[in-house]
Amino acid sequence: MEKKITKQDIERVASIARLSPSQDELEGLAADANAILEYFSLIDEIPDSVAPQTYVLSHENALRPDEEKKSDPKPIRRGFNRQQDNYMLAPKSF
Amino acid sequence: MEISKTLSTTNAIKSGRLTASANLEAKIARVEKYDSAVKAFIETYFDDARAAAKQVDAKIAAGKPIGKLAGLVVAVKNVLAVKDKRLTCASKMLENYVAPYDAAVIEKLRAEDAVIIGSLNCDEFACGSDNTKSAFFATVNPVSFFDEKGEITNTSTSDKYVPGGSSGASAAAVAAGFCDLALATDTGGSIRCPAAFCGVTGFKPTYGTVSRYGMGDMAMSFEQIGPMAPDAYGCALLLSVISGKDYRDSTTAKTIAVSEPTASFATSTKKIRIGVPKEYFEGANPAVAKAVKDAIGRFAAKGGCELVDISIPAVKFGIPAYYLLVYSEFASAMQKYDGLKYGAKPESNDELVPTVSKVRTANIGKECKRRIMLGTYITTKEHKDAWYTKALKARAYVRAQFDDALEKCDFIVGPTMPNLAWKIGEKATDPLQSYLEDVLTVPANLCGLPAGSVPCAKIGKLPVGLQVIGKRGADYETMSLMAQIESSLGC
Amino acid sequence: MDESELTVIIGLEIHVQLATKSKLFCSCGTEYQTAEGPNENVCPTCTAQPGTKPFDMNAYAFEQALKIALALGCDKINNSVTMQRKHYFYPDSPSNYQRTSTPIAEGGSLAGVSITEVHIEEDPGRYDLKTGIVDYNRAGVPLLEIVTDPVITSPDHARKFLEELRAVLDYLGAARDVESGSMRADANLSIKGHNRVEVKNINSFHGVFSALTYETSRQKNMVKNGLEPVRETRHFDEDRDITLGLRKKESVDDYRYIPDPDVQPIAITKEQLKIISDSLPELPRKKMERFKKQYGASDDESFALCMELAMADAFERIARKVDAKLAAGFMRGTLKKQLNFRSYDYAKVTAKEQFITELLVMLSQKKVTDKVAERILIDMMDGKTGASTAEQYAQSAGLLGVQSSDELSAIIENAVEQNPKAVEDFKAGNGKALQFIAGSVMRLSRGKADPAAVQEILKKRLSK
Repeated sequence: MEKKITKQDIERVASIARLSPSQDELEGLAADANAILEYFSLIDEIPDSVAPQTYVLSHENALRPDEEKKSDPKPIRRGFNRQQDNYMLAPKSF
Repeated sequence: MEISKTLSTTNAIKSGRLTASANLEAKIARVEKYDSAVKAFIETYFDDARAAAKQVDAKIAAGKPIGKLAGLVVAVKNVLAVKDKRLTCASKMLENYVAPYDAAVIEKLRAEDAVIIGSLNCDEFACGSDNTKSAFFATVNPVSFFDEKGEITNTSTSDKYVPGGSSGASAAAVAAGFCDLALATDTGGSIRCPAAFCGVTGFKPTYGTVSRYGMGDMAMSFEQIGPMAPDAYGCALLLSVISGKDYRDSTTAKTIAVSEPTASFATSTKKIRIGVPKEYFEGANPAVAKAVKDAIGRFAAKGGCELVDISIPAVKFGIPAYYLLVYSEFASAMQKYDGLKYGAKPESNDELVPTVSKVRTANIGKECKRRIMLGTYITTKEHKDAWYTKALKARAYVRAQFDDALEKCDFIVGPTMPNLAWKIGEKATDPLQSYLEDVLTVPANLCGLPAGSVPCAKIGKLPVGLQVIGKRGADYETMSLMAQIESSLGC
Repeated sequence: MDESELTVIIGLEIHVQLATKSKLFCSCGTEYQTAEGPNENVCPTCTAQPGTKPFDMNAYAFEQALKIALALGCDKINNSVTMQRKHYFYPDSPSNYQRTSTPIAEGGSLAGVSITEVHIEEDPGRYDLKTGIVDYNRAGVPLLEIVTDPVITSPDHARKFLEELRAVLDYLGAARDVESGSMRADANLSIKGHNRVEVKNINSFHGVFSALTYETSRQKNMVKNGLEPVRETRHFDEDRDITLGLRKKESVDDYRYIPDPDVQPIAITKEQLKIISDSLPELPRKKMERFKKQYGASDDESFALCMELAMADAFERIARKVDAKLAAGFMRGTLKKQLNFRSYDYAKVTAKEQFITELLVMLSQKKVTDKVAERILIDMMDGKTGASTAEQYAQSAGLLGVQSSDELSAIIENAVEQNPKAVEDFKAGNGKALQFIAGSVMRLSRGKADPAAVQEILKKRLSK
């Protein structure tokens, strides 16, 4: 297995994933990650020559005709946590 | 051979001996009496259910055509969208989220006159194997309260067992008689594990058989919605309703709906080869292994099948391959939860990035966050080859061996779980230990194979599940074998 | 430092909306610009409600993408296309990942610019940074992304490339709102030997030119002063025509691409390619070559005529009724001038093809002069001609040219009589004096006399 995962690694990953663990949690997460990945490095035994399999089903083109079907937007808009004149409101970035 | 419980109920309703309303009231009475102990339901829909049952009765009285599930009471795992009802996924993030649409499977239930009684608890976002990771409460395995006859009697016991997970409450609801059927989901064993622990029957279809439109994602290339029932017949009936192509889930593009179970469903038609993989027994608790081996022996003794010893060494790569890919897919699936479009509200809305981080951190549970972190880590550029891509190779490797094994036999049979149900709180802290409980169930998800669990024995009061895995697309045949085993074992 | 040492290297990533009725992965309508209001053309799928999945992919969208790839000359078509998830947190993205495909095709070229690849992806919604408002009407509309090699050498070069791209898209009808310039682009620009800068949020053809001009200037200035441009992503501000640095947190380093498990790969067969290839129309460059051969049009005229299919087709119809060279000259000159002045595409005057034909007929018969013809054309474009034919209008506005040579001779006599000194000067050898008299003739005829005829007749008359 590659180098041990540090608190800094976890911090960086958390930032990418938009999570903010506390300092204690960071320790715990690093420990978990190391233990888990240590065990999972078992897969290194599998030869690299094996082709990765991404899809479970064999190749198929799932295509549909180009038709418009109207949906009721009101319940979706009601779900917005903040809204203004039917726009959803997010924090500003400027 | 005892007639299937589901079949007797459905016959009684169709023939008019039992009204849909009476059937429902009986279930409601049990929920009101025992759910405070079992804690299966997140939300009950008694008013809607009563209205639906009345409609079914009216149709029957008027001699109008009725659906395949007419009057059967169905409870659904709360990761399945039911229009205008809360879709919580057992998470604070969606605690008050109301679904604006019906899942494809719910549409199908309604079309066949099922009576939907309510939504069931589970592990948060289906991340767990014992239903203790719901953000709301833990469901209790009803067998904890059973007497020797399998009736709920001792609800004040302190020996509370887990119902399994992540669809623990779905199995519990069936075991406790809260419903005739339950609809649940299985990503790495989430139907089969609780079926085994609660002593009921559950089935995970071949990948792509049932539309996942309306199912809250855990890991998209692994999971299927599937039936839980007192018996395989009930599972088969429910599967015949929910399976089939849906243009809203492109993984169902080449699927044909599974046929309804016929009169000869539980009878064997030809000699079958049953593969007994040694890794499945070596990996299990000796008492469990013995119980399942004995059950297989008793079944085989009745004739009609040939037992074949097989070996699938790749089983040991199952857990790493499964979890690494599940982490990756789950982290991706969870990106959508940002506190803006729906779900838990942010506390403040000043700057974009901290607003999103805070609401995610506060409302997503520990195990889910752990999986998001790991999934994010292993899909970053620096680590992708070593972990994510390697896991894809491991998946291919496991699949190749299982496909080979299924050349030597028609079905693979073994224990569903390596252990019996543990007590609530017993396996709390070490995530890896929890993961390893899935070793016998994850291969079917890695390979997209149909697999189910039937009760085959009891050790003390705890049920033991026997797992049947079939070839891709052999859903009907697999459930048929399950029915045969059920009837021969009389469990 | 010598300015000419600063070689500019530009690459473009152009996002073209495909002309479909519904979105790529759901059945919502795509007319987001004319929707009743914000968040109207939305459904559970394109707003990423929990549990939703992408529908089967829009077949027509994929077909149009292939069509464009073939029209751009992409010779390497991949036989399988996979959708990927490109992860980044941003309010315009409902799932906080964008579905974007692996390359559909590679290796094309247009206007001398080689194309790296084309692929298909979902448009995000719209998020206004300043107000925080978000509208998902556009989320999920199918986009084709065209990535050029970094071989564009100047803003002008980019403009020419885009002009030709626009023509190709116009011919195919595969893209939406090509005239309104509703395509978006990201640009990569560097001065050779220095850091590369990405510029995002360019929302029109014109914007590309402005953004590149500003950015070229900005980077050149830095380099000339010994400063190294920062390797960063900048935001194009359309209102001020400048680029601005984004805050670091908004830039994403790593999108953690994974194949989307919910979308089955798409296989492209040779048969399908042949069908699409056979259905391609004659493309702009080919049409230009043909116009030069078939109609004797000049390079310049062919280019102008062929940049818009409606105009090219109209020209060919008109050229069956009037002299092709006359038509080509008029359409490339007078007509194009008036269209450009109003920022119109030819499509705006398509309905008036009959009128234009008549006008050309009148010109060829010398019933009107060039100047008068332009005048009539202007009036037509300004809506003053109503339902009249060109001839009727010219008649009613008193613009018909001096027809009979008798009439013309009379006017010339008049002019000669009125300008005895000029006549004397001409006869004395002053050639310019003829023009003076000719000018008088034009005034007397109120511009309606044919200048060439005037010259000829006047010369004859004065040599008597």
